[in-house]
Amino acid sequence: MLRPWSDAVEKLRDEALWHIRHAATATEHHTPLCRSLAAFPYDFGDISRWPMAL
Amino acid sequence: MILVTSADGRWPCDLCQIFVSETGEQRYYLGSLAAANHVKQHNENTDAPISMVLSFCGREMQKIRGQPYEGWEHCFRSANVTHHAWSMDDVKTNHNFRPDVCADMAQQWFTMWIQMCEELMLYETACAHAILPLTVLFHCFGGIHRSSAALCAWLLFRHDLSPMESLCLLLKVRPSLAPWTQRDHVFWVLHEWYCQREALRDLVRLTTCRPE
Repeated sequence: MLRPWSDAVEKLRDEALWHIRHAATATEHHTPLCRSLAAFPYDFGDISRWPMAL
Repeated sequence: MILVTSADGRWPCDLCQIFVSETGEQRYYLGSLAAANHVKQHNENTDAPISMVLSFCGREMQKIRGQPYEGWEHCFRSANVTHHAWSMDDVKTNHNFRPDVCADMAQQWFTMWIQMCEELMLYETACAHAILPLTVLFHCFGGIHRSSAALCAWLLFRHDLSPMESLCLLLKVRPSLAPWTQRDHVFWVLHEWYCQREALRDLVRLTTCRPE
């Protein structure tokens, strides 16, 4: 059972969001999601058309 | 612990290795639905094949076009992969705006994470008996929210990491976790998971411990 929302949860959220935002904007190399979405050459409705790099 | 920092996982061209234990007995990957679709090809080209796939997008798996012709379960079986799926909702939550929705989502995830840990503990025991490594792919639709949070939860539960340690480990390989910025329930449930870790371990031990 979860306890009520607290200052400790907010502290964790704020710290985590700082790291997430920092990672996303740190370097050009660290923005794959933005680049993937910007390019958007594939059909997200069909998994077989998603490019893979294994 | 070995921290893997290669940035070869570019969403959705992904399947990235997040964690390898010092002994190499535990290895965890993160990926999208496409990564799950390519697990057989991955296994044919690696010396550390994935032996378990955990899906957190059960409903999307059945709806998506381009899924394996023979069906997911047969696909995983033919790749010698154990598979478990959960249908986790992926909704935006804001504690200030709708605390009820946020609490409902956090509770839903908390319950599913317990089930996940039970499955993983059972499977890890089986792997240990067979002297095989535990190599797991955590995936959801995009591999950037539901599965990444579940992997954090497992790293907290099994490997004693803190929420921030596990998050930073993910961000080194998977720097775009943008959906987390609009989902307050993730932080609520992660915080609770961390605070209740010992009790959760006892609970899971009780559930998964079978008499000889």
